[in-house]
Amino acid sequence: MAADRQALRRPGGLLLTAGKVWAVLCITLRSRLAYVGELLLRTLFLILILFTFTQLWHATNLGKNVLVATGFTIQELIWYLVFTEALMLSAANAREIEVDSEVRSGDIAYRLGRPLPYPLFHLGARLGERLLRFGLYLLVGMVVALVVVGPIQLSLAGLWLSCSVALVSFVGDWIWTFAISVTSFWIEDTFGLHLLYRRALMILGGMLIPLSAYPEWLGHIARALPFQYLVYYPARLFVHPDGQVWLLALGANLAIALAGLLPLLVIYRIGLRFVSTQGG
Amino acid sequence: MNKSVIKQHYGRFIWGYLLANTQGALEYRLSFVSQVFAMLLNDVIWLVFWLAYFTRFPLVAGWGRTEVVTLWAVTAAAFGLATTICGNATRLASIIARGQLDVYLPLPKPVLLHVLISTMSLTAPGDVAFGLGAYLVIIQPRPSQLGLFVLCMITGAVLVVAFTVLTQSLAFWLGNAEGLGAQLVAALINFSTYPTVIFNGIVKVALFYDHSSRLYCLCARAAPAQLLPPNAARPGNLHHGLWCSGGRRLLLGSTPL
Amino acid sequence: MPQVVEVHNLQKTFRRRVRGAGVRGILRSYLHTEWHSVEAVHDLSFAIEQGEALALIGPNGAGKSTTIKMLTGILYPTTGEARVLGLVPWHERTMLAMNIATVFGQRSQLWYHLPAGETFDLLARIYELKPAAYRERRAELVRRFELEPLLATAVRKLSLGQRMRCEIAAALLHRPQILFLDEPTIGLDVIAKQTIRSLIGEMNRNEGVAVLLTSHDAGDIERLCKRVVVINQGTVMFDDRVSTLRRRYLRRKVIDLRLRDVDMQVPVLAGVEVVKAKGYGLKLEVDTDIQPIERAVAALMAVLPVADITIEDAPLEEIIAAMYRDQADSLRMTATPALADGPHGS
Repeated sequence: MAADRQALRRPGGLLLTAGKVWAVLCITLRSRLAYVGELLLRTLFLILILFTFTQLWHATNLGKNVLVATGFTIQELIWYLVFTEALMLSAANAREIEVDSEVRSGDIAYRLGRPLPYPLFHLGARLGERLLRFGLYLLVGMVVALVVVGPIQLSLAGLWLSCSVALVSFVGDWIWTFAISVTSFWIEDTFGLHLLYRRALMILGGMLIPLSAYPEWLGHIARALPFQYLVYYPARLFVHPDGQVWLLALGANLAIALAGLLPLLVIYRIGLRFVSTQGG
Repeated sequence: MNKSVIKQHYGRFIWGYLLANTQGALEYRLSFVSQVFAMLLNDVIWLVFWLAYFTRFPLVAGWGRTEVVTLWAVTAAAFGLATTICGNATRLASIIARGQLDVYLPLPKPVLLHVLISTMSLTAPGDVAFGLGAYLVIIQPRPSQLGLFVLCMITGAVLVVAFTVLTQSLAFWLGNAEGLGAQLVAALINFSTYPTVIFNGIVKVALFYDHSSRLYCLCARAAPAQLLPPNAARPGNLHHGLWCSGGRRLLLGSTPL
Repeated sequence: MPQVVEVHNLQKTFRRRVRGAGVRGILRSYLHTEWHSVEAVHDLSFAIEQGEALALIGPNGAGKSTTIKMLTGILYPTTGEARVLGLVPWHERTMLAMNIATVFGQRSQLWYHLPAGETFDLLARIYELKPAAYRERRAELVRRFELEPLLATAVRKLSLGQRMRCEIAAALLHRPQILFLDEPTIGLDVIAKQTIRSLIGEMNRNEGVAVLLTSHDAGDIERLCKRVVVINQGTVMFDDRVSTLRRRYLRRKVIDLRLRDVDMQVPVLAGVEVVKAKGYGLKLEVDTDIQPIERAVAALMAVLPVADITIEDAPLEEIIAAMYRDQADSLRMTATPALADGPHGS
């Protein structure tokens, strides 16, 4: 036998791999930008949600009640909601997770056969899409909030602190979502798991109202779970910037991401053996 | 063929599809069971959240546990029923845009009906199970109330299908109306799913004088909130029970929440 | 010549759940699952030499795609061994990926909403090409594949033939040593098929890239490869030179004629049979051992008012059926003496 191993090209190190992920991120951004109209259309729903909840918070005197307990004014609650909605709406919903459909359609064959590990390809693509949507939603949401409840004291520091935590949370969120997705290598459908994960993020993460406004028993549950770091904390930093909270939130998000790596890698390694793509 | 025979045929036609779709869904058992349970659990989570919310921050007009549960139950059951039988309603725009209507046009059955019933949403039975279950367990209705509940579920389902078909049909004029159709339905439902007491000013005018939403609101009002719960809301208050039958579910199903 | 691909007794079994019939059957299968295994690839062995073009042909479901997916490391085999460029594909997939390329005729690697050029740029990054080398290589491929007018168009607006040219060029950017092509000409019209074939052939000859091509179109093989492996139900039926295949199994050609007149008298030629004659249509089968195809065509053209003519190979199913007959024949010959003794002995 013959082919000379030494003559073969080898994939490069960490830096080159990071460059590849960046390249995937950029091409995804450009590809999505080809459909700006559709993206803008999606903001219609965001506007409605913001509007409805503004009315609901007013009607239930949420602001007055919460202010006493937590120090959020009603304006701040709406700005909080702007941030959490941008966070949640920018994620792929349970129906559009790509891994599942790629496994089903067999398109995964191309992605697996590249000198860029499939999960990393996916990370680049998802981050590209999410950053685009997040930026757009945040912008539209802020305009709506300005119109509906007027400005609050926002600082550049708050924007920076919250967005940096959000960015890390995107990676952590992606890691866990991907770990769930990869189970589609051997179970037929992961929609249910995705749906429940997203719902837990929304409710236990404090998407609609800050955790501090939750009834006691629900608040206890939410505070015992890690979902709050992905939603509540970045949004809180957006409204109330605080260096110490930022450190806590950043650390927690890093921990969530790292904790997800192990299950992801294990499930992925096992899953690869189960790949049975379409077509003989 | 006289009219009653045709009706009978339609009945058998719909029933046949329902059976075949159920059979198809059962084939993918893990997928099916997990989707149904996930949807059930999803609905429960939402209900718990809103129950908790309205307990902590009650509406001035009085919005109690019974109303919240009833509305969620009817909403979910109606939407579930609609997409169990007419699973293609929410996909109509993409079916039109991709020219898949061609498959149905040459067949000797009413095209719209045929398209609508030829697929079943796998999550829909979870919604129906949640709606019925929540109502039976938490409200513990009298038989007459249960009858009314079922009636509301059916009328709600008809409305859901009707509105979805209307908005998704925009695809005939706009081409790619998938996004727009979904968002329009979401918009309409969004306004109908929260107590109307919360809205004021121009929105209220738009809501009540917009033809289609008025129709929707009327039916929603005819539905359960004021009639079903043992301690029903004051019937004189027209705005009251509009948190209603159509569904937040429709929203949740069609948007990236 | 060193071998770039070696396959020994490769086998892949998929497990499928047995579905019950009717609602009751389905419900019963909820309680008790029955599995049955499908052998997609059964005991496959072959090798490819450096710079060689090998065709892997077989009908649908013969295990061609599964084989390619195992050789590129996407699927794990159930048993058996394979080495590609000296690497075990499913263990060293990433390293292998740097040195090979795969094109699936029924899928696309190009970003659907963007011009193909953008995908080229991305692939240059993924395959770690130096910018200058990439620019040079890209220009060369653009010239050869005549992509200049296509590069700025969004992929979704390209025809299938144009897209396939872009797909193959994209796969060649990083100068792979082996090019795996899974049904590259599927769904293409005759002209586009020829273009793709000649481009692949050119790259194989000029750059020495080894080619493994699957197809169920006998035309692909004849024009591209010297050697052919025929598989059916995951087993090798034939592994030899294309000329041998042609001599043994592609002897018969089908001539389809469209005439300008009805009810014509067909000339009697040795080795030419009329399969069907109806109205303006005339279908003949030619045994090219007895009657070379060009002589048969010339003779027919001389006598008949021909409006249109197509010449086709016998369909693949027929070739495989013939191979089975041959196998059975040779088996019977070796088995005959023993059988002859049998009945008397008992």
